Amino acid sequence: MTPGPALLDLEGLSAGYDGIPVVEDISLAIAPGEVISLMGRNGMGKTTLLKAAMGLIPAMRGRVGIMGVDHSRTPAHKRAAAGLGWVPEGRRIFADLTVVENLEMARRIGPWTPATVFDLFPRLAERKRHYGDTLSGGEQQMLAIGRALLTNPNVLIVDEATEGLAPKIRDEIWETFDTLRHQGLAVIVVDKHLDQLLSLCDRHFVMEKGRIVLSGGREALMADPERLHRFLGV
Amino acid sequence: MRLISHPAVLLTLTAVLLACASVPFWGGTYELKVATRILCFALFVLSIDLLIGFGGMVTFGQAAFFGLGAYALFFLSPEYEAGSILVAGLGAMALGALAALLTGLVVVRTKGVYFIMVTLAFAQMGFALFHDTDIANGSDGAFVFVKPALTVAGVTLIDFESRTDLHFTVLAVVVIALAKLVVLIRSPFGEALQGVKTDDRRMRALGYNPYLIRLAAFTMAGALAGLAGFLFASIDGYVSPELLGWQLSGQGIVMAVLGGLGSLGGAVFGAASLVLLEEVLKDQSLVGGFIAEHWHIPLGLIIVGIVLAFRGGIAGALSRLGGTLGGMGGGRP
Repeated sequence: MTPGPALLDLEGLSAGYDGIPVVEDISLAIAPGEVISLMGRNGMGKTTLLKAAMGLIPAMRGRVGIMGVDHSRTPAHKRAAAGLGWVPEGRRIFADLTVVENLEMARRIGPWTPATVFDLFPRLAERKRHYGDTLSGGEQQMLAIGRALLTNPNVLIVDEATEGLAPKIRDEIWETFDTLRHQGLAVIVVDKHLDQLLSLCDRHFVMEKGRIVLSGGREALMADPERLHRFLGV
Repeated sequence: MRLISHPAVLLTLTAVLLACASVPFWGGTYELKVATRILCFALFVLSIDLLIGFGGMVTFGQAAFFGLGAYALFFLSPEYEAGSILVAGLGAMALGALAALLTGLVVVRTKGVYFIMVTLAFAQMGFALFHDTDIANGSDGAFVFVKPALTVAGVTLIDFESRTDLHFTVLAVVVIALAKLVVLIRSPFGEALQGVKTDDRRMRALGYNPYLIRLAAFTMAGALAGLAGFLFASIDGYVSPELLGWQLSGQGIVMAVLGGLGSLGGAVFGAASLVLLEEVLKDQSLVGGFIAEHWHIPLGLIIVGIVLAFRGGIAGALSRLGGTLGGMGGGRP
């Protein structure tokens, strides 16, 4: 159960490619200020689930609710406008645009502006006029998060949040999610760093072969370490 | 975005445009006509660069809108008196835009090789319409006996019967189009277009509708190609179905690649290079009878050589010659 009204509510969601389901019967909801994790080994359907929630691949069955409104059949750009912000795996920032241009492109009316993103990531402010592909991996991830924030979302979906980043940068990213949570944003995060996820996130969803096989708070997960080890390979 | 503002590209572009502007002062009819053709093709290639270089839409049918613009001159010109440059020019743009909008509704739903095929198919339908029917004398083409003019309060300001007037008008249009396109490419729409080119899934996640962005760019490119066709047809006052044909679309792509896609200035470089190369290779006194007779073969070899030697076309080569590739801020080393 979520502590308040759900910003994003998935009910029995199934999705896949070419008619073959990759994720099946997924139900989860996230409330303002909540951070939840999606865990699981590679190929278990985490990214597919996020894409289906975002509308980047069609759902086969189930419902996607955003702020209480059914968006199961709405295209991705309308789900983004409805309040979902997406930080894709691998950052995928626009290499031929500068930091400012990358941010401006995503800008929508709301509290988040390039200036507030620079407050959040001062490192980006120093590289305003640099092109996307001249940034380090960490700076690119900050830019990707900043770009998603400029759509002024209610829910931030971050796929592979700290993949390939140095430990110091990873810590900055985790701190950022904590800051965002305190601003009332909901965050769904996929990552492989179990310790950080366990200490940051309110609830966890472990996926295995396209289904949620384990969910709950830190205690629920740690109650059965052997099972967790089996699902996550840790 | 980087190539547009690179100093070496800007300097060369200025030099080429100044050279074109100087032609009426030293050249004869032939030189002037060649220079005007270069500028008309530059305008046409700008429309292709907008689609391919910035939108990632590899069109093989842009000549259809160029040809429609040319035919607008014929349809909007009275038989025995001068028509209005404004009416015919705006009519050509409107016709190009409308045709692009209507075909674009279908075309921009496709991508990659399918986009190429669908644009080619629509263009060939346009070609067949003018070639196989009696519209504007069918395959024989049609003449515009009196070229249009711009007359205000009984005073003729510009008369396309004057080659110099036409030349400077086309030059002004190219300069304005370049300036407008720079603004467009740097606007949020231009950034979104480039975003769609790179990854439309990402753009959808940012709240953009890639279909509408592509359709808008396709329509604008159609209007620009229509204007180019109108000006081109004004050179000789003659229109024919070949102006809608796939050969011209292909020629436009060659010019765009040769000049450097995604640079805008490359459109001018590509048009100038190809037109001048053709003129030189066809000149028996310069290259000899054998080459002049088979000029397509050396031309093809030269194009292949340039494309292989200069990644990014002439604009790319210029940017590398000029030093760092990043024209702004902290670009690449």
